[in-house]
Amino acid sequence: MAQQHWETCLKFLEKELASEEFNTWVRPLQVKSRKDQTVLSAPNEYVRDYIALHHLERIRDIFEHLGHSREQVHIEVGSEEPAIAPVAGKARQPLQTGLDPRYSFDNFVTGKSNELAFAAAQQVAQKPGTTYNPLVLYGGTGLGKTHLLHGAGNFIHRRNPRAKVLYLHSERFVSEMIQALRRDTIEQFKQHYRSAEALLIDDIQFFSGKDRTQEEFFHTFNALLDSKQQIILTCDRYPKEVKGIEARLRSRFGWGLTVAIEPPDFETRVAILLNKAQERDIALDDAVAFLIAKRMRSNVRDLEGALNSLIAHSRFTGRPITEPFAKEVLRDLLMVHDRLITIENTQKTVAEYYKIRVSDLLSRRRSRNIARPRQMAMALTKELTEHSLPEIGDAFGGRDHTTVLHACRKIAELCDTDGRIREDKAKLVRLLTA
Amino acid sequence: MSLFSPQIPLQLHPRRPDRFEDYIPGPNLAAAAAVRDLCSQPGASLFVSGPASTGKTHLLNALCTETRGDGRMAWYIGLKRMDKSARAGLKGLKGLVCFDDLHAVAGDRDWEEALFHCFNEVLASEGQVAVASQQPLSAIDFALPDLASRMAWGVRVQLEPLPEADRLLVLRARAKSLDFELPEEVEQFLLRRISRDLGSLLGALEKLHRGALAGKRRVTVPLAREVLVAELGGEGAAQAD
Repeated sequence: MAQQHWETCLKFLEKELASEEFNTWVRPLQVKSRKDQTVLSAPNEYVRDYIALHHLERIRDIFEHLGHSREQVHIEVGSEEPAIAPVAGKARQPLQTGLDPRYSFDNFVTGKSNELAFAAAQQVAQKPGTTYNPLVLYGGTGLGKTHLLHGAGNFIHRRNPRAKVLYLHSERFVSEMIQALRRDTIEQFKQHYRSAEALLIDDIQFFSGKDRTQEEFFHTFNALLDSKQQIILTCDRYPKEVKGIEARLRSRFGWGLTVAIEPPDFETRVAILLNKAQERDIALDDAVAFLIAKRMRSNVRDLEGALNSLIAHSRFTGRPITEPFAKEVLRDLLMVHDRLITIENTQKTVAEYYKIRVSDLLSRRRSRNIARPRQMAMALTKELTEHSLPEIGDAFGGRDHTTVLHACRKIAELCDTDGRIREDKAKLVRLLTA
Repeated sequence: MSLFSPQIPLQLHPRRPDRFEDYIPGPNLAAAAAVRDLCSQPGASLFVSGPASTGKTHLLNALCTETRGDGRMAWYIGLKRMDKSARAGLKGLKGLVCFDDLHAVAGDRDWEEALFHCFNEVLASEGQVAVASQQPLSAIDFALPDLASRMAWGVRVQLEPLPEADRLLVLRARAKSLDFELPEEVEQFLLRRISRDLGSLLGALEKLHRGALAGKRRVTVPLAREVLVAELGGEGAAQAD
């Protein structure tokens, strides 16, 4: 009956309210009966308060007209399925792991940029709690950190289905903790996470500035480590560089193994595309994979997005995925690439990154703080554009092509030996190609 | 308060919920089909871009209508009209979540963070996210690279402006959804005299409709001249048609 009356009520409100107001706030509400009460269910407190302030009186008017008393109509925040496992003593139900079964080690494409992280995640999954603890995977967005996190979790869980493996995004940890504090269930919250055999938390940079969460996480962390339970974390940068994270927590992040995931190289990008296409039963032409992989360098999610768009457009236009078709569908993306990757823009981006002037890059000055960024800018220009060595030399204050060649070799060499330079280069490539 | 005294009479007559069947695709037939396909893709996302008046809002609302028709939850969230406090309203959403006018909040780190978390939460629960913006993804200056990369994950659809013949069809369809016939001479008057973009035309149409209802008059060219003084640049009444 409540459902039927709510439908009638919606019909009135739809006539009375602006369609956006109605569609955004009112229509998605759920209704349920509890004894003789009609309860509207909102997804969060904000929506509840908004409805209570702007629309509840009117809703009560209508329900009154339909034979209810005004006091019988309420709005509350809908109960979420509890993420917290049942308390001890009750029958054990299948555990909510939060793991996505689509991500496994088997469908993770490896290359030079991620093989170390892949190997570390595999080792940890094979012997959780005993090899590297915690394992921290860090790198830019869309490079496969979350894939490895789920992959490790799924591996552990498959080997031992009774193991309590918990995957969650840092934001969920924060919001569950806030809810537990409000509902006075913080002890259950602590018990839930401290009893995990493997705790996998994504994007810990979002703990930044959240002191109470960090405090709780610190104790969870210690409890898990003490009892040799595995922790795997991901972060968008080197974890010790995240601002707003307490020093004691940052230092603990470094106790196990911290591994970077770099943007994939060309061959890996092609392999990823062909692999993803195969998963979807699409025979992707090599030329198309090369076209996308050549232009989209910054992250795997972009590659997937390009492929998703190609497949959808091909399906709905009935046209095969050829190189010209790909150029047409992805024109916006390819155009951006061409717009960003010019000698001038590379110089400007590198100068801004190292906080020097473009004129310094073009000058004759040879001090280290100028020479190294200049070499970086030359190497990036060679790598990302089609310009020849003499053209690049000319654009950098009329230098000889051998100077450019030397710069390219020097930067390649430093990338193998100096983590900082490697990271600078990865960040700059991302800035220029994102 | 009586049942029949509307609280906020912003609309004299509600429009039917937007549906895919009522979308006039013009050059966007494949694009509209790609948007509709989101309904059958749990855990997927979509990014729709296109200039004003290409039907982005219609398509998002049509997605909502179709999803609700299947008995699932759907949220349409017009970011242009949301104030900062509404960020808290993005928590716990499930089902289909449509964000319109992304350009209105892009670059605002707090908003982007709220959208990012919402995106993760919805997709993790096998829901779907559809986002519309006037600018293509590549032209948006995101403050949070994580959000940019989430947005780039799904299918991207770019809508093209409608040619004049299709704009006329849209105008007629809108008149029909408001339950009135648009006489041919009024159509021609609107097309010739109002700014050619579809948004202005539809705005003029709705104003004309309100004028007709309020004055209990038929929709005619003289009524259009009277009601649309502002749209005609103040010279509508004086200038011979």
